[in-house]
Amino acid sequence: MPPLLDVRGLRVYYMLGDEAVKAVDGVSLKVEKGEVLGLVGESGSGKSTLGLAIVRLVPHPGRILEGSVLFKGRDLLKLPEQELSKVRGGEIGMVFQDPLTSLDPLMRVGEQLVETIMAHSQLTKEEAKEKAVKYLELVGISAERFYDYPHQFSGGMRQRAMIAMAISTSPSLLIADEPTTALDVIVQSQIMELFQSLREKLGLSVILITHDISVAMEVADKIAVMYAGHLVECAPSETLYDSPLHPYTQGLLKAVPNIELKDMKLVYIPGTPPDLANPPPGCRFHPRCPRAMDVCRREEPPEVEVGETTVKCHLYR
Amino acid sequence: MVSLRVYILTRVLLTIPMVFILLSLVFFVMRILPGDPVIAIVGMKASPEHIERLRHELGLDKPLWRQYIDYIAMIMRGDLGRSMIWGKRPVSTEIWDRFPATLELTICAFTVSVLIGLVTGVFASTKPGTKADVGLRLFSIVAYSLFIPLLGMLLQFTLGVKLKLLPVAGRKSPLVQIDRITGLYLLDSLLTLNLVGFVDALRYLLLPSITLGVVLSGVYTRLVRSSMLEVLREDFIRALRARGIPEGQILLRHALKNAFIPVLTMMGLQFSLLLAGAILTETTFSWPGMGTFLLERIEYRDYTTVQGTIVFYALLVAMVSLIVDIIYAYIDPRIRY
Amino acid sequence: MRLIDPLARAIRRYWRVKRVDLALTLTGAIIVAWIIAMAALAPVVAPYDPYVSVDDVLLPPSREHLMGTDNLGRDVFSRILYGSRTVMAVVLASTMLSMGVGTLVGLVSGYFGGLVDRVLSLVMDSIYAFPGLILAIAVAAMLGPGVSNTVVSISIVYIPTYFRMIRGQVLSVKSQLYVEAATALGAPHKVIMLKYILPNVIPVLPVVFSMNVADAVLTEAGLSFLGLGVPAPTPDWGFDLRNGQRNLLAGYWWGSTFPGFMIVLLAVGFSLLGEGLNELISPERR
Ligand SMILES: Nc1ncnc2c1ncn2[C@@H]1O[C@H](COP(=O)(O)OP(=O)(O)OP(=O)(O)O)[C@@H](O)[C@H]1O
Ligand code: SF4
Ligand SMILES: [Mg+2]
Repeated sequence: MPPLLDVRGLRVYYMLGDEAVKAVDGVSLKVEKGEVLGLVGESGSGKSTLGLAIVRLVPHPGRILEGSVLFKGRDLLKLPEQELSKVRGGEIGMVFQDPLTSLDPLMRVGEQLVETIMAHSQLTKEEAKEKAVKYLELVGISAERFYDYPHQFSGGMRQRAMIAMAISTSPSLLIADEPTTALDVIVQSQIMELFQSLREKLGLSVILITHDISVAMEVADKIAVMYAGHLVECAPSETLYDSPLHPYTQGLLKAVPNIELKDMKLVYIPGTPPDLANPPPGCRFHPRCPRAMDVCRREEPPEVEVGETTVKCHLYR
Repeated sequence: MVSLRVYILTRVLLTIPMVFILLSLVFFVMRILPGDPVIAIVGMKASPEHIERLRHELGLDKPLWRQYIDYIAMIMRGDLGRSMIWGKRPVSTEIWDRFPATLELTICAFTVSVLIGLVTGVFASTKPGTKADVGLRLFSIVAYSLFIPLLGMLLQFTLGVKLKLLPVAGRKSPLVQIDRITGLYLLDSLLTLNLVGFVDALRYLLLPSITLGVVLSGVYTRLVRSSMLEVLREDFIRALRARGIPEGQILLRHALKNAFIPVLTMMGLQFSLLLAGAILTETTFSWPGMGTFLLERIEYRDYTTVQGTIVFYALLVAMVSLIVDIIYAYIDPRIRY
Repeated sequence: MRLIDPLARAIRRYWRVKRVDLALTLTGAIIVAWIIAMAALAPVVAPYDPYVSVDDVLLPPSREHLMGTDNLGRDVFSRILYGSRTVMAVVLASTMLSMGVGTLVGLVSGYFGGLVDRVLSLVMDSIYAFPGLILAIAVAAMLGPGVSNTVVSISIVYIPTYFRMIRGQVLSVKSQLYVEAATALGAPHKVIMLKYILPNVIPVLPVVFSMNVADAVLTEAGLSFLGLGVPAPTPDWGFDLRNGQRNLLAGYWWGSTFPGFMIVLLAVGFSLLGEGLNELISPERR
């Protein structure tokens, strides 16, 4: 059976005057049905851009130059705008980084939920409202808050309302972009638990975008690591944790406080990520890579399969 | 809802100093500026006794501070003074006669300008940087600079004189009867089921409202455009798109409503432009409203009526800005709750 | 090479992003310059004396009278040429006056703060909220006819704009180190205001000025259209427009149309210039 989502060779640049910020540069990725994929990487590595490009919502001046996004066999990048808007919010739900500004401040939260439900079904207003209340309760918001305005909600409640909207149309894929960064730790873990239970109940696939690899480890089946617009490594969570192949992933995992080894010392990767308008030639990680070789400065590494892992590094050729 | 009441109360209290200062300003303009109103009224050649008597009648022989207190007290009582020329008719009565005409004109012109402004502004905001956008920007500059009497006359000449489609002066045909209830002809003729009167009044209203409306629409085009562009950049618009809400619905139901708030906050000032423009429009179309009334009385040197009329304008401006702020509170839930 | 390359790129980008603004500014500048030239050269160019009857009344445009004659047999074209002098003189004088008074009051208000500032701000806000033309009408009616009275009436309308801008600017400059140092050293208020603060707030004036002039043109035309401007028989576009309207309904369109177009042209010219300059100066917008 083909995967639910199959992204191939996706290239998204932001065109700034004469420069192009190569935010996503030739990324391929698969998500199976019912699978949770953790997409991790430092700030600015292109995670959000990739998430947005899947549903063609890259903001101006971004442009999708190349690639395909096969979702249930159809290429979303070639779909006419009208059909695409049925997929958005219908079969693919999205939750954004910043819940505080992602709701229309002038419309009651409940009504926004009803609007979303009605845009993707034939339900009457009453039926939609009933369903809306049900989903609010599912994410832990009581029915009496239906008529509240967004500013009356706390950050966590808004984020949960956004999640309710994203799942109310029974999507098969949820793209959640840092759904918890704006929230405190307790709310964070509540929302993570919610994802887990939804996935069990609804058989939902999730792309969880986060810069925190330990969060991804907790919930994801598979983890994809991005660095400077490239996908450098993709592997099942345990495999990645036990034997990271890419030097960048190895650095990332060392930077995570390792409780098992009782080694709380953080090891950061020295150096800074490159300017994506003028990335270094060859492997984009080579200026910071402890194992860089001559070939790394000249040639872009190919994607190599090693067991269950796909890695983009000259070491494994 | 408690906080809404508090908000409105605060806003009302804030209006008081504004009204007070406006009234003082009028007093200043009328009494302290050089130029003796009495001499202006009766002329240089009048006898000293005559001048003295008039001065006394007008209370101008009292000390300035006393005049000021009398003046404020009078307005507090809801009295705008009495005409010096037309048999001491109360100014408020005369204003009551003339104000509905201005109100009717300004409401219609306002509707025209907001409609044009919304359509052009939304259109421009969906295509920023295109030729259409630049064209509309040019339109808003030219529209605002269109001298009202010129536009009025061009319309009078083409649609009135040449094509004979619409009347060019006045408020209704002399033979058409409209019973006065509110003084707004369109409304009155509807209330009395007077179809002939309604059509007649509408025909007379058309050119003046379009003239005034078009000139003021440029401001709205620009306001709506920039406000829409700002809203369209916001996260929640992208979130709506990600939820698959149809683009038209996003534009009209979400973006426009949000974009309208800054536009609304400017409407108090817009109303001032409307009143000022109405004076030119009324003069161009011989429209029997407040503007032509004020100018008539200036010509007759009816000093007390001029003062009363200006005071009325001041109160009107203060009241409209209050109303705009209250409407704002009703539209924006962030203030209401 | 390293230096020139980014520079060339910046210019190219500027041209691409701001091309429209440049074009608008230039158009506005040309219009304004053209009308200023008209005003300057009126006595040389004008074919007739604008004050006296030179031919039959209400003649349509022809080779002898490019824009026809008015109801008194005066040459409309000549009156338009001379009218540009009236408009320019009154508008520039009144905006200059507003600028002077508004700057001074704004300076004092912002500098001293406290109750003075509160009261002055309230007064200025009230004037600002009041319909400009009606204010000018009231003042003009009380002052009576005369060129200088017209100038004063118009200038009152625009004082608050300068006041607000200058006051805000003063508030931000006041807290800067060198001003506080001067205060600490005991420099007199007058010296601090004129020597340290004023030079730093002056740069905002041209922007406000260019925005106000266009509006002032319309206010001037409005006043004289209503018969409260510069007294007849001085050639003045607003007044001539009104004068021509009497015969418009009989089909004599030229008496009012030409002065009207000139008013709009001048107002558009100043608007384009002011707005274009404003856009070019402030890069953060759009
Ligand atoms: N609207 C935009 N215009 C220009 N460049 C942009 C825009 N949005 C993002 N970029 C650039 O694209 C690159 C990738 O950005 P993106 O937001 O996808 O990163 P991210 O991995 O989601 O980072 P974060 O963890 O901070 O959210 C960055 O270098 C960023 O500067
Ligand atoms: S390709 Fe070379 S530089 Fe890049 S990660 Fe592998 S070893 Fe390091
Ligand atoms: Mg991001």
